[in-house]
Amino acid sequence: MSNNYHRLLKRQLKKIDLDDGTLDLITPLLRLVNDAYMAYDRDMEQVENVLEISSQELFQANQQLKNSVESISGQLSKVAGNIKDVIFEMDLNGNWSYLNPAWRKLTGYMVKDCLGKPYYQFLKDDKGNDFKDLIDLKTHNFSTISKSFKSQIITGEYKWLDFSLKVIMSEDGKIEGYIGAIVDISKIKETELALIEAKEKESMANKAKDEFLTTMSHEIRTPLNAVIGISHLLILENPKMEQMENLSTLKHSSEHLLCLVNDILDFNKIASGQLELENRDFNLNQVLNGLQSIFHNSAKEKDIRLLVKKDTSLPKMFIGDSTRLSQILTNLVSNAIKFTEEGKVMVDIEVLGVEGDSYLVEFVISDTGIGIPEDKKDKIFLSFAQANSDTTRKYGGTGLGLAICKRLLEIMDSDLKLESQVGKGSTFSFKLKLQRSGVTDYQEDANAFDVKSIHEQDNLKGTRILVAEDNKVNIMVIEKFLSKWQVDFDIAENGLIALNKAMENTYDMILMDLQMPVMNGFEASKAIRESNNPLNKVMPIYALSASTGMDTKNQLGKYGIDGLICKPFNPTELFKTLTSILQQKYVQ
Amino acid sequence: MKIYQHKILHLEDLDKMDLDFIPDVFFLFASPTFIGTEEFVSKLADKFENANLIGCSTAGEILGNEVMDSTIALTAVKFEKTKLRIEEVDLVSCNLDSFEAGKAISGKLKGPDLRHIFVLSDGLIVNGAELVKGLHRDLDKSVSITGGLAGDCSNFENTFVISGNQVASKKIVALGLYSSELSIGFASKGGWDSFGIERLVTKSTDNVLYELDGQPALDLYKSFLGELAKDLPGSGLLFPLSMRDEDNQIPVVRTILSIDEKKGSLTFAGNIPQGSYVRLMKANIDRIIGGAEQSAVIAKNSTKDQHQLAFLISCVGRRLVMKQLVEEEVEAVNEVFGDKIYTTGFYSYGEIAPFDKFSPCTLHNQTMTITTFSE
Repeated sequence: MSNNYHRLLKRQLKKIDLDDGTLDLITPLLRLVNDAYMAYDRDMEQVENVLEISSQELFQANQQLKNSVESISGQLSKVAGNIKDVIFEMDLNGNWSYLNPAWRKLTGYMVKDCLGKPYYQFLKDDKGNDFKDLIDLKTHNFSTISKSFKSQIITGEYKWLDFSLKVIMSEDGKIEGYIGAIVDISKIKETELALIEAKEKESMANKAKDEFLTTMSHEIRTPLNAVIGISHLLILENPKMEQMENLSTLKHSSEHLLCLVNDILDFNKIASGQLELENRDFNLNQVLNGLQSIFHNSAKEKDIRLLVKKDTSLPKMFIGDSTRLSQILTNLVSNAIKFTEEGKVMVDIEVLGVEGDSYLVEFVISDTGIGIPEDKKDKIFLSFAQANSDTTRKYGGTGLGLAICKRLLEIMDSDLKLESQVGKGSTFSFKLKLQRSGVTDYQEDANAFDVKSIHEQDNLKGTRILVAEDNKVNIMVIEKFLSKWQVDFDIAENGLIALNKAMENTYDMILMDLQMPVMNGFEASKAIRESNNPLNKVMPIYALSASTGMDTKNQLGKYGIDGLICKPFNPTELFKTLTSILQQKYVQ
Repeated sequence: MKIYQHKILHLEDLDKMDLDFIPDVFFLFASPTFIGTEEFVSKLADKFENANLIGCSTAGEILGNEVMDSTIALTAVKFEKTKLRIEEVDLVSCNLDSFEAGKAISGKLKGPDLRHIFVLSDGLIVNGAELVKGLHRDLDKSVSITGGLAGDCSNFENTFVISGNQVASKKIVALGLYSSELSIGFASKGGWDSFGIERLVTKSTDNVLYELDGQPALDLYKSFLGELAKDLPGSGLLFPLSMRDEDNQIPVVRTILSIDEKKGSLTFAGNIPQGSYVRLMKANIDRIIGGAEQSAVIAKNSTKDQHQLAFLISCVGRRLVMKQLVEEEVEAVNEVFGDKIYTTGFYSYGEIAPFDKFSPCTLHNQTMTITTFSE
């Protein structure tokens, strides 16, 4: 028997006690068995080694995991403990399962007294009732909830709470519970409510201011109408030289006062965001002609040349707000003339680019006047500001003009630019994107007046006009002009009289004051349109009013009124407007 | 298909062969301890001038139900409806770039009707995973690839392949099978189990592993091998790695080819990408045998035809675990196929096959990989 055999095999052979012959015979088998035993031992040893090392590794891995779990949960509880807002967990029945220390600070309840109890025992509505319907625990028909409400706390005080909650899902999609946060928003709420109140107060105050301004402007305009009208009339009645000087001052002062009222109104509208831009077809040539006719005389008086240069590629008709464009140009040219003692004022209009029907047009207004010092360039765009405090004394003006121009251009997505050198002159410029209009203007030629001689023309001679007006001074002014233009006119002191006259007689047009006693202008116009006389259906009715707001303009159509002539009127403009209206009537 | 098998124990057995047909090809799985392999191959090539010779060195030869050492397992085959072509590539001439070598071989074999490539490669200096990638690269997906890496008992010192009348190391030889009527079955299953914690590969280059979880990989292996550490790299076969990464969602098995004590690194038969996860594996004899059986079932069911010839390429690591019971897995396979099939093959340093007919071909370790042919 080999001594190298495995000890188990040796033990077994000893027990079985075979004779040598048999042993020799089975030696190959014994060797195989021995190999297998040895290999088995080695394998066992190997497996034990693997088991040992694996266990050590798993033990270490487990320790590491435990440590990191401890350190993470330590960190988390530190974070949760120091956070200002309440963090909570809730089971499926709505019982608190976790609350951080902030809960006690917020509600006054001890955390340990709340755990395991339903949330609604601690969240009460402003009548002290349980907030049971805060979470729909039966249907779970939500994944997140976010609500703000007022809740009573332990002391009986109320706090505004922002409550948010999220469903905790298990990996297989089952709802395991809820997690969420409660934030004290009482301070935010108080501020919010205070802000709302302040806003309401502010808007009330604004409304009062607007109403005051509108009323004031109307009340000022009506007597101004008389002052301007009469000063015009007196100038036309060949006054003596010394009277002429006084009358001119009266005329300019009244016009300045009107300008001031208009500017204040406009500025108020822009500032309160009420200004709406019109989008209508207009003739740019007319705007420029108007500019020339307005400033022809004042330029001539100062011996300054007023030049208007146009790009030849500039179309006549555009779509936009011609009134506001005109206002900007008038303001800038008026300033230019005002501050220029010698030389010229030039308005240069250039097309910078064309894209389809869209034109980029640059308007440049330059003068050879006193110029603006570098350090004053920003200041002049501020409201009620002029370059020097003595400017108002010397040149007049409200100091609102440029601020209005700048604001208007901002509304039109443009900007007013200024280049200036003291003693050499100033150049204001702005660019506008204007849409070309497809409309051709048949009025343009008809409207070309010889400004100087209009009072001598007899365009209106013999036309029959009904004037509805209740203000005696205004009646006097308009009577004087209409007589001068040889118009055959009737006066109605209120709407009802106007209606009766319109029924009895045939007129070429009616000028209708809107605010009158007995029957106002709107009602009267409507009644006239609905009367039996067929001519009254097509006869032009124009409102003559000091109310110039968009509201008034928008309402006119509803009452059958064709348009609005603003008071106080410039006699020249009134003449042109009347002529144009009547010519159109005949064209039709 | 005509098949003749002979267990060659000595050089002289060449004369004892009595074939009643002229074979197209001889499959020769030769033990490194067989004396006179080169002479045998050369004489066989002389004797059957028109036949192709393909084979390699082994860690055990399989013939029928037998697992042998120090023999040449010879199988002569005459295909009736299949044309054959043998091509070889020298790894040295490819600068040891296994990918390029694989690409070159499939390039040479490419042609109409190519159905299958049976590849045998040097088992030590080749990177099997790269070789498989190269073989695939320009090949139509309908061409299947199976084969294995040559073995050297459990010595890991010298392997060779047989190609034509040559016996040479550092070469890859492949047989192309061209036919419209050849049906091929294949499968690859292991039966090993992963154990212990999952480890992150923190340092590796291709198939060389340096660090696991920031620790030297060789130290870890040695600690698990205990007493057996002195038998590395052979004993490393007891601890293959199960590896999963982005390319291999189904974990693949990787075994050790060699170690480097100075660098503390281990070289595997396939790539172990940095960032992949590995677990050590252990063997259980019953489950290994079960794995072989499962492999046979999948191979059998992959085609309806009666299987005529089966190549069993099994891993040397399995043999080291099963020891005296090694034939059990061969018998388990043969029982599945029945007695009408001829079986041969060898214990290898790496198996090449898809997992099943729906997956791409990959390099395996520790598996029983089966390829069957029938016409």
